[in-house]
Amino acid sequence: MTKTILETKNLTKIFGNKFVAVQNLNLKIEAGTIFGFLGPNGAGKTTSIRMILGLIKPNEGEVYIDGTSIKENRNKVLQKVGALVEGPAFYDYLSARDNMKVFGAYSGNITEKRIDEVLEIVGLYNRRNDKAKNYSYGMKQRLGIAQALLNKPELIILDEPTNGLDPYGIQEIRVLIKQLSRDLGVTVLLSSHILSEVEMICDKVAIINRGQLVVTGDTKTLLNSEKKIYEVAGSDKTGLNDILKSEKNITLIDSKENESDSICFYINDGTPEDILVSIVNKGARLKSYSPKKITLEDFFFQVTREDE
Amino acid sequence: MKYLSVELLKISKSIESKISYLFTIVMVFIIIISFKMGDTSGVSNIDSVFLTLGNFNRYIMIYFVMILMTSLVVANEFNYGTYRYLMMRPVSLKQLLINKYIALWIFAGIILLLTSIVSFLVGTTLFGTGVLHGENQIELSQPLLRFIIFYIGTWINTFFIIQLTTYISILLKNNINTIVVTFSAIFVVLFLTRFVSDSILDFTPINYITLKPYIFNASIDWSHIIFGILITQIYGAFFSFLSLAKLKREDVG
Amino acid sequence: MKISMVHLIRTELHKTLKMQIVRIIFVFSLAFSLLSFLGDARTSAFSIPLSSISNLTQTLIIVAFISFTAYIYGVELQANTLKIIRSKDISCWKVIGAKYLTAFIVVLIFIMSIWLIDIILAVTVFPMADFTVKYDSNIILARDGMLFVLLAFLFEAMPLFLVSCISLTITIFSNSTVLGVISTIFIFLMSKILESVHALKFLLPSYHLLIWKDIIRAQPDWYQVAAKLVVILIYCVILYLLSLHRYNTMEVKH
Repeated sequence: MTKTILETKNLTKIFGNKFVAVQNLNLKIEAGTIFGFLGPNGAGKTTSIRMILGLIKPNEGEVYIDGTSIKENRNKVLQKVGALVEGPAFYDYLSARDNMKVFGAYSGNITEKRIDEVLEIVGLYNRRNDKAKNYSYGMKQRLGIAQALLNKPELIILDEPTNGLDPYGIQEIRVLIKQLSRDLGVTVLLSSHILSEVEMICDKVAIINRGQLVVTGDTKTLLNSEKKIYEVAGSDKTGLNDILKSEKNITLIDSKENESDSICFYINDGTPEDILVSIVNKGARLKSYSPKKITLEDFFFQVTREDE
Repeated sequence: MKYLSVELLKISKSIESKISYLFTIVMVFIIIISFKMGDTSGVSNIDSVFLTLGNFNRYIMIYFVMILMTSLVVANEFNYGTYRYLMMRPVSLKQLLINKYIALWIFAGIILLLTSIVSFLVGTTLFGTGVLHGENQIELSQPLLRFIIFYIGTWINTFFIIQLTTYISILLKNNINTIVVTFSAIFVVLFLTRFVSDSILDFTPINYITLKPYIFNASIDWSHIIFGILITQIYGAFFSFLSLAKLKREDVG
Repeated sequence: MKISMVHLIRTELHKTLKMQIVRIIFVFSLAFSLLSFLGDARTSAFSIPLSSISNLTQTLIIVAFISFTAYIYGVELQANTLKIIRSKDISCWKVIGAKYLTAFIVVLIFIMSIWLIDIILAVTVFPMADFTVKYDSNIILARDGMLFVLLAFLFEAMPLFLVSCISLTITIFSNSTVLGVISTIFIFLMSKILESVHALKFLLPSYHLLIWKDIIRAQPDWYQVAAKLVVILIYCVILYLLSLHRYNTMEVKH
């Protein structure tokens, strides 16, 4: 049985006695998995991550990392964690190497060899003696990932790690995350707005909205079990849209998001064939009518919109 | 002192430390040369050392240098955003603060030593060798001992300004604001001392900013020196306690 | 569409007056000036603002207060907006000119606020009587007091503007607000010490901080005032031109 590396129980945070940023968050992340943590802006993702890392004190609830409560034994717990949260931060006037030395000293017993190793992993070894202020944003992002890897953590939390990276960089990070999980058994908690990336690499996802956990589970299972999406195209998109709006058994997916001629919808009740007959009888002139593979992005919109 | 080496690394590689060294050397030259252009009969190289160290205290220049460096080491953690990355590590807040204090204190010692050495060399060049003179040009015995007391006493007392500035840095979380507010606060307090009697000021660090009055008599006033250092450390410890309490209580922004 | 200087200055002023540090400094300096109410028994209301300006300038604390105007340019460095400004169709001389003029206006508001608070509080507590100053044995008549004190504060804005110019110029050259602030304070500390060298006195910026002394006298020394103003103006123009050259030729990397 796989051990639980991270568990949150009823985690709640209220700011200023009024604003509930996170409410009763219950997460369970198994060791060795890549876990996607998603949500719209302002949903409470960063607040949750900060509570997990002990940067913010929760009003209620507990965080357990590898079975140990962060409240009771913060130092022991943080030895197993590495994180990149809300963007990288460095001492601008120091070189990459010196920055790693500083963070390494605070992580405890990080050797020069390990510093060189992590810089090599993120592709900054050749620029290790350059001052951090001369780095591009993408390079700073890589250096941020490097500092998270310094202490060989069991759990690594990455908040938008591919921000500012070019396509090659994004691919490298994707490969790195997979390697960490597969080869080293590191658990990765990944928060990202690039849902296609999350869908590609995460074993499980959790979606949070307005401070509450909306759904959590295995990525593939969630996407397969959801309602089917159908895509229909016609010669007159506006007319077709009006006809579809009048259908009671379907929910239209906002056509503003769909720039092509096709319109997508979920079937709430009935069969696809019944819907097809109904819209044709109402005068729709169709070019195509077919099921659409549901992506994480579709799922995300559906789940967060339903929640509103 | 696990983090002392990296704190010293941060200080040594900063432009602020280079400016402090430059400022120190320039100020020594300016003080001694200005003095040379005045009435300088009977002034020796040893006198010039006490002259510059005394001026560094009297015009709170050493305080200004330490305010600058403390804001670099403490306030900049919030400016750069590196504080949250330190707090994600198994770091004890108490250890973190202590290591920062010690690193800054070592830096203060270096600055004062640099001041003394440069003053001695410039003084020897301009005034030649001689004895130490006190008030009304009386010769004072044990110049080396007096220098050691003056140096160590001043050095220990810089701890207070480090602790005060750290507290203000933690409150304001911005290096410029820290420099301006701390500097201004010290000026205001020094101004207010005109209206307070010495008997009250004896229980504050104000009367021990410079230890010269207790060293420059025929006999060294040991009780005042030791008492002064103790009082200054008590006030410093109070600000340290406030700093630690504030950091422990608040969320990491 | 060409952007006018007035519009630029208004924008800069709006930005500056909303900064936290500006508000802190205003409060601090007003509180400091109220300390003039303490001390020896006052017989005239005019001695309060006089004491205030004396404390501020002779202790050099006003340099620490005014050097914050480095933020007028420093905010662009902090917020990374320099690249946005440089990409707009605004002449460099207007950009830097607006910053310097804003600094002057802020300094004027700063010093005149202190004057206003001091004089209002002083006249409610003390009578507007004749008074003397330590550096002049003659009595200054009450009928001249209000005007002289007002002019002293008004003219004091010029050396304070010089402080601001030094602070801004160093910030523009070094691309660092911290360096701008601390270097300004260092310069004035060194200048104060160098005042003991009489030959250099008139060239030193700290010497001109005491321009108010030439006005608050039984017979104001307008020749000295004019001479000091000319020196200050020359320094300010040189600093502006240096800043402009630097701003024109520098690369905006961030």
